[in-house]
Amino acid sequence: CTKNFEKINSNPDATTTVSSAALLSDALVRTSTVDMESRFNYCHAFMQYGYSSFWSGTTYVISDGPASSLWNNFYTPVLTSLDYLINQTKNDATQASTYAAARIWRVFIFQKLTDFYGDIPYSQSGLALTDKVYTPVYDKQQQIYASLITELRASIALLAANSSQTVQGDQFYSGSASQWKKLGASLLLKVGMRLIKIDPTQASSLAKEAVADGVMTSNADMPVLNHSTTFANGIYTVVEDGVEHFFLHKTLVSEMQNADDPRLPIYGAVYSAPVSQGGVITDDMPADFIGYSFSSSDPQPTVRINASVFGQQATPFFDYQYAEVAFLEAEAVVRGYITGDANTFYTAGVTGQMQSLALLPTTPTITTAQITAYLTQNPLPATAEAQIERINTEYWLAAFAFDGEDEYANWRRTGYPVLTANPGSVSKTIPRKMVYPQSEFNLNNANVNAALAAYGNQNTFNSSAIVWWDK
Amino acid sequence: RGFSQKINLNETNTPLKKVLQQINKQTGYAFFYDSKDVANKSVSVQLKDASVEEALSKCLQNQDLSYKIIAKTIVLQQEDQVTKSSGMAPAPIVIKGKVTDDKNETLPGVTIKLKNGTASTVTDINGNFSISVPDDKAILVFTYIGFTPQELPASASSAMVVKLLPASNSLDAVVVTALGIKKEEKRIGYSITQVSGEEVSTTREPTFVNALAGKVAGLVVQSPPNGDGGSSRVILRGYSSFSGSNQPLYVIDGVPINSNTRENTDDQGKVYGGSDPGDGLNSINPDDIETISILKGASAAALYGGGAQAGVILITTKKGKKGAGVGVTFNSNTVFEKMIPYDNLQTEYGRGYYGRIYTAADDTVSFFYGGLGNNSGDPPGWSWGAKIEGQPFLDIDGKTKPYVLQSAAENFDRFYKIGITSTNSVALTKGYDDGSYRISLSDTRDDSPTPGEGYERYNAVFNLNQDFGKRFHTSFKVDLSRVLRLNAPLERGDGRGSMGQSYPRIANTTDITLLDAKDASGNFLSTYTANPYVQIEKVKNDQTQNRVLTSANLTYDITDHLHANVITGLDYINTDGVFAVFPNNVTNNSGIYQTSTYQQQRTDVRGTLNYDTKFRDFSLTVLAGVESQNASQYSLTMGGSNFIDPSQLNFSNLKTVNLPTELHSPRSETNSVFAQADLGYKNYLFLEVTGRNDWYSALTSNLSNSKNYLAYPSANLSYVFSDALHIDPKILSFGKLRAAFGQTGSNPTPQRTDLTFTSQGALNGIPLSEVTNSAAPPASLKPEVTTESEIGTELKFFGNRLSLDADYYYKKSDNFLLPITISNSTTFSSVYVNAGNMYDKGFEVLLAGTPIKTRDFNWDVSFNAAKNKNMVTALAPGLGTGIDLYYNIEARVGYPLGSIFGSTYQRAPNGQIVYQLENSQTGDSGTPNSVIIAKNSGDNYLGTANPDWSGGITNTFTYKDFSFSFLIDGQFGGQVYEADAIWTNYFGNSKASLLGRDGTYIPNGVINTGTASAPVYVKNTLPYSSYIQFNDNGNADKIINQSNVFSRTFIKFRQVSLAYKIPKSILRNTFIRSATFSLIGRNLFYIRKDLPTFDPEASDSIGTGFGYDSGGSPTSRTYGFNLNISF
Repeated sequence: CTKNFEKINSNPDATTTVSSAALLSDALVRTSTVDMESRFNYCHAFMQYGYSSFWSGTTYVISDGPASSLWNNFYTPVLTSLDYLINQTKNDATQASTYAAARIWRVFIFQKLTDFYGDIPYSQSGLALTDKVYTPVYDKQQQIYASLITELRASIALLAANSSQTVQGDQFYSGSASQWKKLGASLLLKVGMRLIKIDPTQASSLAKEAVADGVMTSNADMPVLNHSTTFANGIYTVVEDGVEHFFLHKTLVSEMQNADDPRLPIYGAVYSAPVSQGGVITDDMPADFIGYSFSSSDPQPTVRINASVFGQQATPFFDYQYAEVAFLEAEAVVRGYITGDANTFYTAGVTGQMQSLALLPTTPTITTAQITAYLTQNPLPATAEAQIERINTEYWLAAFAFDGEDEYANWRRTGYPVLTANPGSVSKTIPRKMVYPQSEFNLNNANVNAALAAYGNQNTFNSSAIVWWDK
Repeated sequence: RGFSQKINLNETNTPLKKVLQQINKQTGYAFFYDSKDVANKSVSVQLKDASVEEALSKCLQNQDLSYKIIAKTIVLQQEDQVTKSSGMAPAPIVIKGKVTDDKNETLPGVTIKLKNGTASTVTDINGNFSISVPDDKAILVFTYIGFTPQELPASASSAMVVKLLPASNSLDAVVVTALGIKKEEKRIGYSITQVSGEEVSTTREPTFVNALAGKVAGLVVQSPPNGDGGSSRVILRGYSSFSGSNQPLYVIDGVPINSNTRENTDDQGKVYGGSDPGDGLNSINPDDIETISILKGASAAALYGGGAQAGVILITTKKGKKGAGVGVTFNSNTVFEKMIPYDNLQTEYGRGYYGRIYTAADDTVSFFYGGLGNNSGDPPGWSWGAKIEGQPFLDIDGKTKPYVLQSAAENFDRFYKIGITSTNSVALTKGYDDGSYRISLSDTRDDSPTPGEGYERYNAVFNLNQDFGKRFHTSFKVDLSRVLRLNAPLERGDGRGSMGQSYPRIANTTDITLLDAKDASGNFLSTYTANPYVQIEKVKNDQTQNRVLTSANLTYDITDHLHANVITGLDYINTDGVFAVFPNNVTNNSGIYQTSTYQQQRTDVRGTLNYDTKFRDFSLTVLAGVESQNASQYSLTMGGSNFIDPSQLNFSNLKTVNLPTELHSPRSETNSVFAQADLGYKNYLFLEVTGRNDWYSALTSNLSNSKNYLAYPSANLSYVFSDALHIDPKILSFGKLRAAFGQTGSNPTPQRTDLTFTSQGALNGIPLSEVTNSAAPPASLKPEVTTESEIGTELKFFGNRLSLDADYYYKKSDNFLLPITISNSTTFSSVYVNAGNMYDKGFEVLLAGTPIKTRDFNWDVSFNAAKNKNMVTALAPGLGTGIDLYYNIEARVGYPLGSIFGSTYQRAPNGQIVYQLENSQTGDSGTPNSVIIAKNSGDNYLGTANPDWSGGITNTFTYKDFSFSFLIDGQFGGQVYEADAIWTNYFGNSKASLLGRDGTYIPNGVINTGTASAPVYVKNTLPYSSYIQFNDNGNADKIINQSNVFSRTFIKFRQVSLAYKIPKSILRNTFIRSATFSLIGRNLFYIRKDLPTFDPEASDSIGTGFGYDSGGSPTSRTYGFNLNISF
């Protein structure tokens, strides 16, 4: 009498089996379609890219919604899909490259999580299914980083050994294992360069290792996710669909105006009102742009993020720009970690980044002449420290919209660009670690409280709340 | 003239009946026969001077009829019957008579059986009967549902006049128990309450079960003000589960029906706003209900196994009665409904802020006045203004008017009209020799007090009972219903316009009709949240439910003591919904449109074998059976937004159309076997043992350690000590002790045991799939189980003038199955687990009596009360502090389920309230000039939603043909989190907001001049500012949860009715058999209510989130009349 029970109890609108391709594809797409509250509300505010009255980040106050969105959206569904995929493919030699790609992307996600929150559940995350772990312990960032490095090395080796095998469900490189290997190496470079303060020796050796493995060498190597109206770019949900059609910050606008940056009219425009209220562009002359200023005596801001470029559902998303790789290499050269010409990497970074904007909707190509003029006006300075500042200022300009959370880490790592904290804030310093989601105190109380010991025993922006590599 | 003994006949093909008449004429012998035995028979006979015997044997030759002559009567009988009755038996006697009830009303359809024989008949439409019995020592047994069976010796000498007494006063009352088994009450070892259909049909509620409020001990009924057709909350003996809604299983004529509320489903608008989609109970026509049996405990319900965890409500519908002839009943009911205005609001200060009236200088809104910088977009404003003294003020329409109170009563009268609900039902019954049928039609139309809101219900029920021969009995039922809900109210803080949402949030000097004013472009006045006129004019929320409830019940008597029965039932519901918000400036600029269709199907097939026997002093009934239940659901929803033409509802008129959502789940099957043995000893000691085993599809998976079945045992013992100990019946007419133990369970939620994936479509040509619902499958699963023990007694004194029924129960529920939220860092957001345990314990008392009983006047009193205590005893490890059920409502170990948690008043060690310094107005600088209560934030226990006590008292007075009855019920203890109180406080509308308005109230409390960790308390000397406490210049950040928690205690004058039964003497010469006219009133007023302004019975959720109310519609009282006529 129970023989049909399993069938009856199966969900008719779903399946119990899933292809690796569909899971990897989903994880890659979700990475840039999910709600980006954390990245805009906090990272964009901290990095003085912009200002919105909806953002708590401008005044450095704690707001659980945006503080937890990166956590919530990356752990589920992105890591849900990746963990399942990794388990499904780990013993399948025919899917070795897919397995390796999934592990690389898992590193990509976890680095963003730990850079943002510090110590987080890592070793016991994703064990709900297999080991019924519902309250995972928090791992030290140092251990997480060690594991990320191991994971990247293993994945790069696996891709090298299976270079002809197609990565299934690849949204970036049409399944090319060698391209994924470059992405893995580029990630190893980024992971390594995070350690310059805490462990320069390891930073240096990892940079060497990454470059030897073969990092991205052009825009053609960068992972670009082409969104559609159905799978809208996450920036769209903040800018166009939401009500946070934010102003550009004076810090950014002034920097770009002073540098005659041809990217400024692509990044911003003067709007009559937020687009959600029917606002239209009324002025696109960079010289007229007035950014948001912390000082209330300054004029009211006029320039908002350019919604026709970034606020479109089908705007492609750059998860990891070639320019970032080039700038990391330039800095690694300056620091003596790797050999090469810092200026070459610097020039390649600026050029690559300006050229990559042509991939965005309604964006005219920035001409070679404009790029040359910009580089002439903003050359790599002479001294090492000035070079590092220049490189990382360009890193900041490049990470606008797409990689605010990475820039937030890069700024903490290098101290550049030099930002003046909002004098109107209570703390008067830019926070250096995001607070944990409030839900963790309900659902994983003992573990989150144990983790707080390293951060002043408070879930606040306090002076002890600094991640390991930032010490 | 004399009769001849000689008979002459010359007939050819003459009907037998005529020939018999001839014989009668010629001889004077009377004939007695069953007309059907004689019908269609004809004879050809030639006789001259024949004897009676000769004539009869000639006439009856080859007619299968035999005759007997008794005195001057000739009895004809079918040959086979004669042979069956003892061959040598004396001649039969015909007994005639009439059966009436205790009020001398004739009873049609009473079954009369020959004791220890086969002869049986039923009374006709006038209560008359005739039955032939073998001899003058025969005993006749009279039985009739709802009446005490009677055994009387047959009396042939004169017509018998038999009076049957209603069962409710009797010792041998028959009640309907699990699986529809009728049992003598004395045999039952657990608590069961049976109420008649009249209880729910006279004082009419659209959903029948709502009319049971206050009438049954241990049954708590709440009908949240969600509009007619909304879900009802029915709780039997407290909570049994964390999950689901704790609603009982409803079984109609043996078939479980679909009564799930869709409240907690993923329907649009479930708990956060939207409307209550209802629970399917309201489609039942109360006029069709014969009796309702309430199986409160696990022992009573154990035969239903899983699904009966929260108790069972058995409904038996009216049927035609065999042989009762034709009857027509007409019932007409009209009730008027008037909304009850909010009470207890402050009436002293009007619209404004900082104690002053708005002026033109405050105007920052071009069309309407009153938009302040800090109050912009809310012209109706706050009641934090000046003292209302009729001085001129600038109203929201820009006109200067006298500053006068616009009371809730006035505004309610402006907004609402008197609602009218009319119900007309007609039922036709016909009974014939081997069957009966009943056809009932009913039409309910409710024009709600809210303009545009309404409810309509149409029922057509056909019920057929048909015997095929003596052994095969069948019964079929089809109940077709159609329910329309027009513009069902939007609830639970829905900002799209309900009065409950908006009224606490407008100033008390605002004439509500001003909210209906529009500017030149048709824009409404902007309001803080909802504008009730927007709901009327711009929201469309219609639901149409079509339902088929059908069943077949077949019984075959294999022998007189062995019966086989098969019941099959189908419940099919199709609900179509339309939800639209037309473009408007208040709630949605571009408009939204959604349509949905739900199909719910439930089938049940059950077969039982039943055997009864007697040996020496024992009687034994055993029963065994199998059952298979299936349920499935299908839904399709479509939606879009952005209207092109602002007035058209169709998908081509939308700029944005979303992908449709289609679901073919949940679906489930449960298969079961069950058995019951009922052993009686000497009519005073009874033991019943039952067992059932359910196999659930919902717990079946490829998980190695899951268990998909559970056995539910029960046993109960009844000891009628009054009989056993031969107690003087004049003092104790009946005394019973009972004890019971039983287990029930819940039907688990299907499709939770496997990890599944759902396609998300494709991007760049590559498909995407994701884990469905992001819920991790369980590690192991056990079915939920509720184990209950109860003991009780039933005592009747002084010839049943006083009766007491009391019981105590202890109910333990384990292994709650529910999806619990887990940290996202697990990569899942929830997991389905066995998550906790709890218990309920309590007792129930029913006390009934007849203090006065004379020939013309009767006074009956019935009082019931129940106490229940619930406690959560365990949660799954790793669940942290508790489970959030709904906003401030949680499940936490050591507290009752559904307790309220939140911030409290800070108190010094000596208990004094701690105040903190504030400026009385925002913008004041310098030394603080006032105080507010300091907040102790965090999750502190604030109370429980569950009442300690509930009960009711009904008084009924009858004088001749008049009867007057009223019900008062109440609940004592328990709290409510009244989220609307936040808003009456914030807007300065509550009486609480009056405290300290004039700046002179200096509260007796302390101020902490030290630090939080090292407090130094000094006496407070500054005045209190309710404005900062409750409003804080629009920030509302100083509000303390504790100030929104109120006692739920109430006593309500629930129901009153005055009925006049038109006397028989008047109706004698008409075609009307009986007529009753009654005046009725429901929910008239509260005798006591601790919760100011709002309704203590209102709640956002009928499930475990009960206890949090955020703005349901105000409640109403109804009054009207009922006319019942039988032809």
